[in-house]
Amino acid sequence: MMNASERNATTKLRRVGKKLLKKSSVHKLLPLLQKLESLLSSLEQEPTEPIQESLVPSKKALISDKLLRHTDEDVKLSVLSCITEITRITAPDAPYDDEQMKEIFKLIAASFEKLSHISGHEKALDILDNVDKVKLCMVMLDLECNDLAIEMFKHFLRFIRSNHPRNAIHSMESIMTLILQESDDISPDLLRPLLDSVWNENKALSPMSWILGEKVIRNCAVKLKPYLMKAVESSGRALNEYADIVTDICQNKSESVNVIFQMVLNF
Amino acid sequence: MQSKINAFFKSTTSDSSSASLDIWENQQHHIINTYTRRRPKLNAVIPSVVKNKKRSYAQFHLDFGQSDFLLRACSTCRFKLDQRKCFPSTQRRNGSNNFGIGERPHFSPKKMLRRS
Repeated sequence: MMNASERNATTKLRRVGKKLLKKSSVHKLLPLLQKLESLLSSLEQEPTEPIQESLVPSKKALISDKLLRHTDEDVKLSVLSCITEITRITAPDAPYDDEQMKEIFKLIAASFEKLSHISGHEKALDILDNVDKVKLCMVMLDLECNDLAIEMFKHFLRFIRSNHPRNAIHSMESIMTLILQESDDISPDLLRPLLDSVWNENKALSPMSWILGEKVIRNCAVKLKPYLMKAVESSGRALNEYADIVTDICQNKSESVNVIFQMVLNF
Repeated sequence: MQSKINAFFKSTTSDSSSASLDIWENQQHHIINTYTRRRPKLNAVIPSVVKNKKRSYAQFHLDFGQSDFLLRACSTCRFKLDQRKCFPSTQRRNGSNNFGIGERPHFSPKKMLRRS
């Protein structure tokens, strides 16, 4: 037996989903997407069957070419924000098939470019938060979207700003750490953005990027050890041109790294 | 027409305000489930399935160790008798004295009846 709020939610979800399939203009789509995002954000995980059924029209509408490939950037960001909300609700099962998820990940990675904007990056932050909370990158790794992981690293390390919310910075760190820890193999291309961020000269140019890169490398010290020296050699720079943490890992000073890690934890 | 337009804008404004409040109120979710790595397909262990298995319809007999149905051969006349009584089994079934050629019982049922 559905309670009143559940019945209300299912009714609204169906209505909005059906309208999305019919509308195409920006000034009509944006309010609908905003409404849908609000409804989705009010749902918790493990929804009841009536809720699941009422999500179907919206799921279909969001993955359609009309919305997913819309020319307006704001519409696309809103669509992605709604999709990541759906991935939060349906976890641990992906709401779409593998090919559709690959397409979604391409757009998610591209959306993080918005983080560089002084304003208008709120949707990108919402997407970032959802991706982090439910560890959506696990699906990305399963689908072998390694190029997209590299793209994400580049965007995070290039566009991180001091004015970003603290939880957003934490999400960037968490996502990169998770990708490195859970990767079956780490390619030099994935390490290059990290190494570039902790290049000594970058410390003055982009201190936030330096701090983020250093944290991620420290988080994954054990995992990175077999790969880091080769990445340094292929970068064309000397080992001492990078942050001390890189030298410590490459020169097998795991004990000192652990000591530092313990000190950080205690602090 | 004017009233409809006004109602539309009013509804839109109301929805927008409600949406903002909803988003603000529901920023914190209880994350119970997260995504995990799937097992790589190449390394997956596929259990072997027996195909074209022939079924056997042979019947089996239960052996309770009583195949002779308690029949024992009489040491005197060699007839197989129920060990509870020393009477020929054929006599019990047919109710007549159907002895083999040349064979005579070593006791007389009539005499036994007379005695009792």
